Amino acid sequence: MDFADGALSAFRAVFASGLVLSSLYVMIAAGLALVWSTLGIFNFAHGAIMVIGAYVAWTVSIDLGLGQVAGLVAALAASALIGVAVNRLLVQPFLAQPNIILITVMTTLSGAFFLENSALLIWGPRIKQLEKIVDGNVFLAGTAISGHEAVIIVVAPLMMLALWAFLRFSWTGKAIRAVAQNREFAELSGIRPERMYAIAFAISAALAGFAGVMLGAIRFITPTLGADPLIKAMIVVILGGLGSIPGTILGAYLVGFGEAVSTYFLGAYWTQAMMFFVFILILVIRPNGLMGRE
Amino acid sequence: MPEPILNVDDLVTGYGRQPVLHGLSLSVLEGEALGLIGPNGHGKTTLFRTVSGLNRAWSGQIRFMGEDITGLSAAQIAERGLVHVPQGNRLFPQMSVEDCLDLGAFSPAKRDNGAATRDRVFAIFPRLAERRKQRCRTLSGGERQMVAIGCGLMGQPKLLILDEPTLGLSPRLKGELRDAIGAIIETGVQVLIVEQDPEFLRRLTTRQVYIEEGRVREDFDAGSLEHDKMMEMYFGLR
Repeated sequence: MDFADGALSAFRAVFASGLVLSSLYVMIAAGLALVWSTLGIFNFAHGAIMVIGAYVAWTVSIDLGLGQVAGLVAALAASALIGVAVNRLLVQPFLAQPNIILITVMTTLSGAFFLENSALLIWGPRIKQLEKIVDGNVFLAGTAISGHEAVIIVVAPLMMLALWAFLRFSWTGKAIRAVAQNREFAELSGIRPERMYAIAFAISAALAGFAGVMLGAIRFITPTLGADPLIKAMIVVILGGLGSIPGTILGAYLVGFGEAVSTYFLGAYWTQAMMFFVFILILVIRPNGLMGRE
Repeated sequence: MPEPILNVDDLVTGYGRQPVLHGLSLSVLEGEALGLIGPNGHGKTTLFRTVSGLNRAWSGQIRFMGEDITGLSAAQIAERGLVHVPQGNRLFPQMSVEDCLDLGAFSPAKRDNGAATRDRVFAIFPRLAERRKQRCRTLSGGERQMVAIGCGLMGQPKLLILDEPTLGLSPRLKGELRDAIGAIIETGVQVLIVEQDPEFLRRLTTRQVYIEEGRVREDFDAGSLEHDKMMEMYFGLR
């Protein structure tokens, strides 16, 4: 019976931590996927924007003592604004170039370094942490997780639902998809592509900022906090089939649970290597990702 | 004499450093339907792309309903009611016919009339009503062309410019589209059409212009596009 109990508690622990990780990856990867599907570029500054969101929330809610709601709103506004600036300064000037993907890898990567070092200058090297949104613990499948983590688990799918509905039903959402599918025909329909790119970037960055605020309460905030989640989110987006929202969700839960399982049984040391191994294996079998087209 | 609704004056443009239009001038007068004809690669599509704002003019001027629209963005020009239906379009491949049409009336001033306009489009192309939920990429070439023209109509055009609307279609579909375009003209929408088929243009338009090497070569009145002119255009016989 000992063995069965052990297996069950292992399963519970893996399930709970896998769910938390997956939910975080969904939030981060969704923004990345939105920009990819609209502009066809990877925004390497996405993780750094997430970090700035966490720092701004810390300044407003803890340093200035204005409370968590104000902190969240400020973080969303700041990250959306930085997203728009990244788009305007680091992406739009090169959009007409044929090797746009490579150029924007370099420009957004330098944007990421700029943002990380600015964060270091502004907020200093001392690590910070946000307060949890909800106090206390929640029992999930027999394992205790913090209320904050429960909020993350619940909010992530709701945000995906909201994003999906926005892209599917609103005029602006439809126009963003239209620009992604056929820019010239969109222009001839009276849609202004530059505006749609800016909106897509702002939403993407706000999602990153939100993820930063969530993450900042369960991990310590440092200028490079965003680097690791960014890599995971990129795996998620590529794995899911670039830009497809259902694919991104599937990819996020696969990567999150995979990481939890691997961390439990193989240890954190091997997890990263394992993840890339599985990632490459899947891409060999399905080069366009799990739900990618063509 | 009233101002023409579209006036292109001494237009020069091209791709990279290669000019394609060498000072082309052309007018669409109030009430007329103008057809453009001429060999491939001589600037008809480039003219349309420049008029609708997809390409920049290097020099010259484009005026629409008395306003200088040279250098405006494509979206701004579409909002003013000069709507370009491009050639062989793949539309928005992942969207339904219905969504695609709705986006044709994107600018806020046009959204209010969107539903009514869409009913009119479905009346002209009943087949689109049947396929309204279908994704654009699953449509046949003819249906796709109907959606493209439908999207143009959704933009509530004063002048609709059609670039080879029957390219690659069967004779039967071609006839169907010709009748549909005829019906559109009867509702009072002015058209400017590029076509390779002189018969098609003669049936639909009141005046034809022959474009060669980026310039207007000949101006014909209704129905006078003669046989030997055609032979000369296409086979170089004099």
